[in-house]
Amino acid sequence: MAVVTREDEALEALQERMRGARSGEVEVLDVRLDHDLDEEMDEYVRITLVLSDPPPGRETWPLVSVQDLTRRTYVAADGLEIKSRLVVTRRTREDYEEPGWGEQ
Amino acid sequence: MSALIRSTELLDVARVLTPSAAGPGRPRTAQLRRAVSTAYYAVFHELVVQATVALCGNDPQGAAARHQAARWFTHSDLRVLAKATTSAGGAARAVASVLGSPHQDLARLVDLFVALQSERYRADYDHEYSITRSAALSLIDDAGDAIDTARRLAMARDGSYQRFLKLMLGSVKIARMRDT
Repeated sequence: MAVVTREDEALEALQERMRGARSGEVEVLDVRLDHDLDEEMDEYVRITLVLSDPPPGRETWPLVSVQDLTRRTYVAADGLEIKSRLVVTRRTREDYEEPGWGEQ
Repeated sequence: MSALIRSTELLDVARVLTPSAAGPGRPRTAQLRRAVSTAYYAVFHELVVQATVALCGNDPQGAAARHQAARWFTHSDLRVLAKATTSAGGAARAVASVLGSPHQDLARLVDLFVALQSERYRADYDHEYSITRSAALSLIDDAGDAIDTARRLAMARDGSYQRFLKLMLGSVKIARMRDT
């Protein structure tokens, strides 16, 4: 049975805290956590904010909203005393509904 | 004929790679991967250009020296410096003591750089990397904002940013070698 650490709990709390957050017309629909390695093989946690579709007539989300949600994610992580190195990014819902490799 | 690497031209190329009229659905994934990678390179080269000015000055006669020095900067050195700017311990502590308290815009610039570099690594090498046009455009916006922020910090002659630029040339490796 996997041991759940305090860090795991804090990351889960971060997910809960940011899920449903809004900035302007942009809403965080889901928060994905992925443990990954960078080019130095140092571990980091990638936090992907899955955002609502861009506002009508816009090709992407307003920069101010995206950066506000990103900043709030880092601030919330600090508040939860998360020690892992974090990288916050964003995706559309569609990114998680895509066909796999070789199916395009 | 001038063939200088210009960050704004790279950003333009990134946008060209994300056309809206790319047929039903979306641009090809390969295009979006290249767009994300190019957006990162735009930021990387902006920082390198500014670092070479910090090292060699902005005199027109110093162009050859700046172009030579520009080839010494590595993605790895910047990544490690960026990590040191926002974390503590070991070589990071030594570098942080030289850097001093980073301007809040520098801290944000570093976060943008690290996130874009992480995206670029995955876009270039991860077969499972997936991104839509909207998300790729958002990352290109981030790159544009990072470049604007870097230019504002340079114009303001912010002390922490000037030190950051000078530390870009392998400072963390040096700190690790000297302080251990």
